[in-house]
Order: sequence, then C-alpha cells, then structure tokens
Amino acid sequence: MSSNKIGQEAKKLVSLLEKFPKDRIQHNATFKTSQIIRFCNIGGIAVPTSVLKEGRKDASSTKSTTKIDANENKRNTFSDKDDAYQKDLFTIDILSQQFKSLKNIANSKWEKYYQIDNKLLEPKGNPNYYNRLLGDLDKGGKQKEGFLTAWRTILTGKY
Amino acid sequence: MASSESPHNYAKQSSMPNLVNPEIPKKDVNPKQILEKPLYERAIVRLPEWQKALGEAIVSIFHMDMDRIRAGSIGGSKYYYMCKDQSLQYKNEVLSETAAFWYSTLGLPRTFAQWYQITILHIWMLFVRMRALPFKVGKNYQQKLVDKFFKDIDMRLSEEMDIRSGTIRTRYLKDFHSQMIGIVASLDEALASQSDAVLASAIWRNVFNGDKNIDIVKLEAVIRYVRMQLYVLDKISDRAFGFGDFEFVSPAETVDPLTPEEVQQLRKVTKEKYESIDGKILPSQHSSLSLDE
Repeated sequence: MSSNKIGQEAKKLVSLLEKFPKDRIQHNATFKTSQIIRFCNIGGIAVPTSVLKEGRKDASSTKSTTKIDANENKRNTFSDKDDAYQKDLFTIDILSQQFKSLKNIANSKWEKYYQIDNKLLEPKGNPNYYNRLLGDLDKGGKQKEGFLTAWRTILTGKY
Repeated sequence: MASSESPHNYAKQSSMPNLVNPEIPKKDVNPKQILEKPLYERAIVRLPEWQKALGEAIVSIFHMDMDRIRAGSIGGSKYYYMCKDQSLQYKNEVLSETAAFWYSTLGLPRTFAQWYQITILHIWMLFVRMRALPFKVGKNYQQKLVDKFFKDIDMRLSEEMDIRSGTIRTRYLKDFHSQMIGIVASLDEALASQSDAVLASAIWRNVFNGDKNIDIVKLEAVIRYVRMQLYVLDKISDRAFGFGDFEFVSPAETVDPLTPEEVQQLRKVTKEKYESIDGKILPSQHSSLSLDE
C-alpha cells in the first residue's frame, strides 16, 4: 500500500520535472534528466524513452572526462547501473516535502517574491549584455556572431 | 535579525538526511600553514590625522579620479574578502556561521574546489550589481575583483595546499578560469531568463556538483538565498555600493521586500549620508556615481 503511495508521489515529481525548461546548451549533466531518472527509480516507474536516450548521452560524456578511479571501477563492475541513486530511505513525508520545494522552483516563487527591476536586468553600463547572451545561447552557442559586432566588443569592451 | 524563515532554517526543515556523494573525493583543506590575514582585513584601520590631510591634499592637487582608486580598495579588497570569508574553512576548525550553512546544513564537501564554487557564486552576485554601474567604473570594479581573486587562489594553492610547482599552479589557475567563465555565463543565463528553474539547474551543476541524490528543499534554500541577495543589491544605490556599504545578508537572516515608502526613506538616508547640507565634501569623497539609482 505504502509503496503504491510512494509511486504516486514520485509520479507527481516526475511530471513536474518534465515541464522544466530544456537546457539551452548541452552540459555534461542535466538537472531535469538526472532527477527524472532518479524519481522514476524511487517510484518504480518506467523512465520515459526520450529521457533515457538523453541520460545515456549524459553518462557517456561524463565518463570521457573523468579520471580512472579504482573504486569507481569496482562500483561499475559489481553493481547495478543505477547504484548511485538512493532509493530506500524515501518516505511519503520526504517525497511530499521534495515535491513542495520543486513546485516552488517551477513556479519561480522566489524570483517573484524578491522581484528586481530593470536596473539590474538592463544594466546601464552594459544595456545589451543579457540580450546578447541569451541570443547566443538560443542558437545553442553554435552560430558565431557577426564580424563587426565582435570587433566592436574587442575595441570598446562594450556589449 | 534572525528569523525562523531564513534560508538556513528553511534548509534545516528538510527531513531528508545528508547523503555522501560517492563521486566527490573526501579531501578536506589541510593546510601546511594558514595564510595570515593582512592588518587592514583584521580590524578597522584608523589613519593619523596628518596622513589623512596629506592624502586629501594629494587627491585635490592632482585631481585624482576617486572612483578609479576606490575600485581597488573597495571592489578588489573589501568585496573580495566578503566573498572569500563566506565559506572559508580548514580541517578540524569550528565553522563560521555562514560556513556552517554551506557545509553542515547543506552537507557540501569541505574541499578547496567547493570553497571556490561558493566564492564564485558570491562574486557573480557582485558582478550583476557592478554591471549596472556606469560602464567605466563598473568594468574597473569587476577587473579588480577578479584580479584579487586569482592572486589569492594562487597564494592559497602555494602556501596552504603546498603546491610548489609553478607549472601545476598555472594549470590549476587556467582550469579555475575556464570554470569561472562557465559559471558566470550559466548564472547570467538564469538571471536573464527570470526563471528559478534555470537558476536551479545552474546551481545544481556548480554548487551541488551535479549530485544525483540532491535534496530539493536545500536547493530551494540556496535559490532563496541568492534571490534575497540580488534583491538587496537591486535596492542599494550606486553611490552606497561603490563606497562599500553593502554586506551579504547572512543565511540565518531574512529580508522582507520593501514598501515604496521604505524605498523613499532609504534614498533619503543615503543622500543625507553622502551629501553635506552646505555642498562641501572632502576631495576623497568625490564621486560620479548616482545617489538615486
């Protein structure tokens, strides 16, 4: 009975995590993917295939950058792949607490509570700074910016 | 003002125990010798009157740009020490109030790399404010802060961590530098997206070392902490910030959003502090920074 409830609670967490925005550029580890896999494990839910594919990509990219470590090797050889995810200690209380926090994050509770004005978002020293950053990130960091604007930054230091 | 609603207490309310991340090496900072704090960092230094008068005379005669000079003493020194002290710790030493939040409550590993991550988070918050200063002044403050940061890391690596080889230190410094670029970019992305979800991923990747078993309550506490600091930085005027009147709010304290009347009051108090009634101020107190914004 209780394991069923844990499953339901974990499902709520997973569906909330699925609504999280996708990373603009590819990182070695992704909060969204790793947590979806984690809570699927805890609740005994099947991991969505799209996430599973991404997770595999994650794992291969981190492995190529980490050093060889005897303990790590032992863990990988003698245990299940999802060994790093702790499962046993989760109770309904803990999971509902986690859900509450995740919901606050998803709703940008603190961003709204401590609202800042345009002074910081369009700084007078660098009015275009954030626009240019987001513009580049939205292209996935793949497309280089124009020759002239790049030189303007080099010469004046301004964005 | 300690409050039950502070980020520190919020994080403590979580019923999930701290789990050790098996992917993080347990290497506490075990210094061969601890760097001594310089005199001007330990206590408030008071100059003799004649030295003050001489200083004022030099500034006045040579028409020195005080905003430029202040970038070194405030941006490079005072603000850097503030960032550094948030999470500085050594093996077998009692943690400071702020360090206890990061290491005991959040359960982060007590390592040099972790200290770097927490310090750069605080430096980034100052960067956000410095960008909003006039371009020339803000850039100078940022440059001085980064210069001091890397000089200090170099010193700590050689003296405390006992890395004698200059080549290895340079390699580490380059690594720290590229980490800094990544962290600042991802936190800036989060600020510009105006979303806590993006900020959560950035903090999870950097401060929490991408821990798979993260306690989300604690992640939320850090987000709240960051937003709280940014709010204070938003409300402080250029002049007060440039003169070093900003302090980070302790994680054990909380800030309530200001009402419009309180914002007016704050502006009035700042004006009274930095502008004399008869319009005369000392040459060293001159500044082009705005009192209103």
